Amino acid sequence: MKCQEVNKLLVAYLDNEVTPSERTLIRAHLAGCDTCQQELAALSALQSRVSHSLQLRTAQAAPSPQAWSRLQARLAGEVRPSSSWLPAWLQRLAPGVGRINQIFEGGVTMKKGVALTAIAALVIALSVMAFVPSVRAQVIGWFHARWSFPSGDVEIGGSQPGYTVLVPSYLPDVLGSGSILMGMTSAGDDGTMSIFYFYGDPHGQWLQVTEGPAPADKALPAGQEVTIGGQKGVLITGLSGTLDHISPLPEDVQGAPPAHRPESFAYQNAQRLVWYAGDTRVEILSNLPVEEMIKIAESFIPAKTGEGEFPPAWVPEQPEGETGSETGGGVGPIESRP
Amino acid sequence: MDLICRCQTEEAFAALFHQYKNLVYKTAYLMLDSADEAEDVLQEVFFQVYRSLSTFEPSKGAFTTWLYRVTVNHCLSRRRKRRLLTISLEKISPLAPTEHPSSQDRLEDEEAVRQALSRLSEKLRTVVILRYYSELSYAEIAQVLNIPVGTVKSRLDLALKTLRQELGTLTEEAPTLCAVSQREVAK
Repeated sequence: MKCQEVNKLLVAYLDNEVTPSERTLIRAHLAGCDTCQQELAALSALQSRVSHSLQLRTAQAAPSPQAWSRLQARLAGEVRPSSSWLPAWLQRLAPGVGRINQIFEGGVTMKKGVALTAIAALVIALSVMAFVPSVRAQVIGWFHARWSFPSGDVEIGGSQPGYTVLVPSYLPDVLGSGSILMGMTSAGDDGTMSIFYFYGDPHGQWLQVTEGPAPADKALPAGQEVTIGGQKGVLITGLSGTLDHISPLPEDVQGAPPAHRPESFAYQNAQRLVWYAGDTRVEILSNLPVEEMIKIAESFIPAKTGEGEFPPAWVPEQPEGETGSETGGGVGPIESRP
Repeated sequence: MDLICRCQTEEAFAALFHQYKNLVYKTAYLMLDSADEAEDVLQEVFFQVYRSLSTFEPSKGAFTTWLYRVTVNHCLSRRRKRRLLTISLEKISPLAPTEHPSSQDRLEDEEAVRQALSRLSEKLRTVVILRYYSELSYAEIAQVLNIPVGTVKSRLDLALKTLRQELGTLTEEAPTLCAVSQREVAK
């Protein structure tokens, strides 16, 4: 290769965008050409300088805090796309989730329908993380959990959010007999993902789990100190408030609407338990008795995880009787219940 | 109550917005060199995303590639409008001074790079931002801009060499002037 030919490829060479044969030829040329070596060093320094400059300029640049509310206001005047768009998009974004619709086509109860629709929301929100360059490196695989209730199985899953997803290995049957079982995720203003999932029935007994990354100080709110799995936690009792709730079912979900599908519900005399488990902050909010909540809290274990992008053909089938995980703990069929 | 589940559509779209708002905003900020315009582009891009999600085809590329494409297109469209406006103003006020960076600015490296980037053509500046800020591969840039990979390669090569010439000239100017000054003193 002559200097002129090499010179045209130096930028691509630095960007690792040349073919293996070009790389070999360029290296051979550089070994004996001081001029091209100097050119390469100058271009490399320039690339770093440009990259550094661009990063510096955007370091403090951020959308205004009102950006989302502005957009919401604008969207409010917009005809909302068909309510079936989300599952359609979900299927396109994460093709493996097509299995959800296969289950729907097989004729599921609406209770399962709600659960699975909610799972779709969980999958979608977590799956998008894998497409963000800055987050891509943090996504090391998927998580999945399944619970077996007398009325049917419920499962959640998604791409690993950068902290250990924990799930209860014990849940009382009463939470599986309600009309609503769902999972969802939310992104905070700082871009962190939290996961929350709900079991039970707003008109009966219910429990909601919220998880997110543990902050550096692992601060706990004020409340009664409790011990959960050897870790210090806090119990706050006598809570009342409103839980805005329940996703609308897509139009393409078959079956009769569930009996209870409130947009929100008010609760009273609920308890909140907050604790840290490794790199995860866990909260459970429930109207179950405190003893039952602590029993659930102490049963939390890492969700089943695996390598690669989620969903690897949704999730691997669990062999009969197997309750373990590939790389962590797992939640298999719940064998014993009170 | 801090555990809020909204309806499925809003919840998913809110998650999408918060996940990608910085990507869109910062790309627009670099392309337009204006916080106000980047804010407007953020609104326009997500409004379009909301309306067009159903047409997104993952088989034709990753979601982020599509999002970058929408963002870049909005920015280029704004730059074209801005250029038209500039022409119009120049006609009205032909004596308006052309902006030149001060010599003080040129001494600061970051400002020098910024100025050099701003003098690149739109096409070259766009590939530089997508490569050296967004860290997209050549193939991803090709998808975003809908151009062949070979064109990405040649544009980046030209952009870097133009920048090198521009920034190299700037750093070489000072010693040259100094030498002239010394000769004058010697006289």
